[in-house]
Amino acid sequence: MNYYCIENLIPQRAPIQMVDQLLEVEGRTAVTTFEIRSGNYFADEEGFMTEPGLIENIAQSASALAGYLSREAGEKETPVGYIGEIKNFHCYRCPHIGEKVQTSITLGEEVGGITLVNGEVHASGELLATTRMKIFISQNR
Amino acid sequence: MTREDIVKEVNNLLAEEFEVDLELFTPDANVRDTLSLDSLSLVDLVAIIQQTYKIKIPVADLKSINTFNDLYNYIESHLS
Amino acid sequence: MLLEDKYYKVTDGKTDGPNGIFRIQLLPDSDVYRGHFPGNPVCPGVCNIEMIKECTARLTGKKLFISSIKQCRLTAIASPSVCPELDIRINAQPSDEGFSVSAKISDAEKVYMEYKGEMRVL
Repeated sequence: MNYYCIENLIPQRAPIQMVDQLLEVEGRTAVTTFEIRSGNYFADEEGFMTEPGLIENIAQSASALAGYLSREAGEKETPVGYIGEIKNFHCYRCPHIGEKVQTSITLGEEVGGITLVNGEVHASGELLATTRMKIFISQNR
Repeated sequence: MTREDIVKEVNNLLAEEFEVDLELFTPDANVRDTLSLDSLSLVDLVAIIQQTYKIKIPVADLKSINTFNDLYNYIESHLS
Repeated sequence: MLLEDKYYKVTDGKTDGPNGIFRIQLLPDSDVYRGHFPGNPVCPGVCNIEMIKECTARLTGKKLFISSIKQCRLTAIASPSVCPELDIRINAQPSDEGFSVSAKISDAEKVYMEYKGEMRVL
């Protein structure tokens, strides 16, 4: 697997960048990691990164994999991705500042620029959240 | 797999996925209107047909699929 | 609230039993647009989901947790320039989990989000 720094794979930047690294790419599946740091845009007063942060982490993980696949196919630009639909999202608990989450992603069918995504977030060996999603991925900004 | 099997299975599959009554699945009814498809739910239709019948539907072919009859014909002709 | 007065502010709110409608203003200088996206400010869908959660908390008077989302459709791209003011309509029915919530974010021209899910009371 070739290494790209995350800024070359996803267009999102601070304060809403919610993925640190793309790892273990295999075909249309991958795993990303992300550390919950203090000051996280979606962290509440008790230091938990709340549900929207988990959804954004999954969406950006899918964009990172799509960005990787498009770079590997020779594209120079980082594609821009928007969430089109979230389906059957379930959240069991939120990660706390200091925890590191691992998000596993599978990219499914792609039709007319819309890609089906399956995502799961784990931390400290527990399942935190799962969802299905549709993401608009467009090559030009 | 006979044509009747395809028609029955596709209707049941789509009626459940898109929560639409079975009686609305008449051969010449428009697929997009009956299932009230937009760009987002069109992906679900393509994904469910491709997975169920192990066929690939290129976006270009989608334009030729308007009625349910077109859909049955497309599946029947592309079944390996 | 997490995003109130940081991403949006509520300018008007009417509630009637399980129903509420909140008029909000998107804050164009919100820090989030620095990174979403540089030079191309677009509302992150998840921030609009958080707005729905916070308006539902305001409607029900309870601190809430999004335990599941059956379906959330983002039907148009929102941004402070495209839609500076938005209406958030919410119906929150008590359920064994807490509340079954359906919501819609729209302005005079377009619907931006349709949302259906369960929220647990914290």
